[in-house]
Amino acid sequence: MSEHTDKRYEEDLSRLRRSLVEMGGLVERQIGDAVRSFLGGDRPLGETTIVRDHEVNHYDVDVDDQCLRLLALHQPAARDLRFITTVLKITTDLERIGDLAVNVCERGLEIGGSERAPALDLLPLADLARRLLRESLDAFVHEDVNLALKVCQDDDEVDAMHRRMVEDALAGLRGGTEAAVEMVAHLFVSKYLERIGDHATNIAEMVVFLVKGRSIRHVAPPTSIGTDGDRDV
Amino acid sequence: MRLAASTELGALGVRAAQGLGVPAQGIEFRTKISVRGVNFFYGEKQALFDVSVEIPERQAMAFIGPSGCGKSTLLRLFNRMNDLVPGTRLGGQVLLEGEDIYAPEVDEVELRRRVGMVFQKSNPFPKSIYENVAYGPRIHGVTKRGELDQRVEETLRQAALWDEVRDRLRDSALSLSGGQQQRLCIARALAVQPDVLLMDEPASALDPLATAKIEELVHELKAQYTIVIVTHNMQQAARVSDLTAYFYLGRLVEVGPTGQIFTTPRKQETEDYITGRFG
Repeated sequence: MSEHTDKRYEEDLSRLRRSLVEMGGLVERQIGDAVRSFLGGDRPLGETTIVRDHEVNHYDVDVDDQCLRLLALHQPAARDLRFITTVLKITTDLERIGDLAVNVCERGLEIGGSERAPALDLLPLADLARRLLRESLDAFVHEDVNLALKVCQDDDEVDAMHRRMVEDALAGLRGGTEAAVEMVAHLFVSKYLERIGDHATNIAEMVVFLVKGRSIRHVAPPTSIGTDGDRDV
Repeated sequence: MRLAASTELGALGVRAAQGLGVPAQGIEFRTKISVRGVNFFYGEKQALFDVSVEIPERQAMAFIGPSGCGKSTLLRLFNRMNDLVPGTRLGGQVLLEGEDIYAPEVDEVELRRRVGMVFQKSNPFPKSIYENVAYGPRIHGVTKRGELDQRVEETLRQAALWDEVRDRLRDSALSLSGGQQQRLCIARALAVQPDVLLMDEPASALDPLATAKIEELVHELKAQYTIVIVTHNMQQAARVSDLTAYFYLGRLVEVGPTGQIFTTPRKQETEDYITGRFG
């Protein structure tokens, strides 16, 4: 795509893109550290991760500010307008994911270094949720609609894994277990991971809007987005 | 010509109506102006290339594009203003309500009554405010004082100027501000009860407040008139029009509902222009 004749505008848009990608990288790291601290009972890592959430919040405010300045000063249209509104929405999802990472750490700190609930294997769910987040951000960076649609579809698997986690936890609790507190903490974390899948899906849906100019939110995810008539942008 | 929503134009109009929050079901749009395969030359230089576009009645259509793209040339074809330029040549057809406006029997004076025009720079007559508005109706046969007074008041109200000038109708039009003068010119065009109002950069010489008044006026007038507006101000096109047509190098690149053109244009050239990547 050719550059804007207004170089400052071009630079401002580039800076916004950079900031969002940095924020996404930071949030990916936060969720990875949060899951490691929870599963490994790593208290210092959990505490460090919680403290680092303020950096995510800082990005949230900064990205919002950049978007507002661009909207006010440049009156963007078409793709630029879709880009800025997409970033505004994605930054909210990333900030929420950051909060969920903090929640994961807090549940880990609550159950301390006690024996975990071995019947509930959170690792596959955590890996999938993190993968969806990474892929949704990759889809944004590369404007890859197919990857974005794959994220939307794969979120069903996250939901299914969470449902199985709930069933397993209920079975354990009904059977009587000494690890009820740990079991409940695991359930909470499972829910947080399921929510992260939802946020990754939101990001992916916005990528489709960014590239195609079509909203696929609140409808069953299509498997592909065809060409829009003679639209050649 | 009555076009159902299922025709190309009807569907286009329906989408525009949806963008305005107007119920689309069952809406029909009449074509007011139909441009068919128009080629236009200034001497040897071709200014328009095979342009076809339908302009629906009581909608505002904006023509946008870089300087020299042909948008003003096309606008001036609608009331045969280009006839006044020596050495011009037209191919194709321009129809007003299905009638070829370049047919030999067409009365140009009557055509220009039906298709009024407002220019970039306001050009009131060096006469009173009243006389500026009364001039058109008078030469079209309205001579009774009462009728003229009524027409002047109605028209100045339509042009959102009445409250500002009602006590000074005998003052010179040149004593008005730039924005007021432009609204007076709009009133002058409306005074002869046209069907179509052509506006060539009507607010480019005005400050933001006066511009806002003109834009608000366009919004109100399109309930009664078909409006075609040429503008370099993209945001103005976005604000005032239902449909937008993008021209480049004498060709119509894309036309569609304004909301769609400014969010998801179909052509890369349109997108480059409206996002400022044109260079």
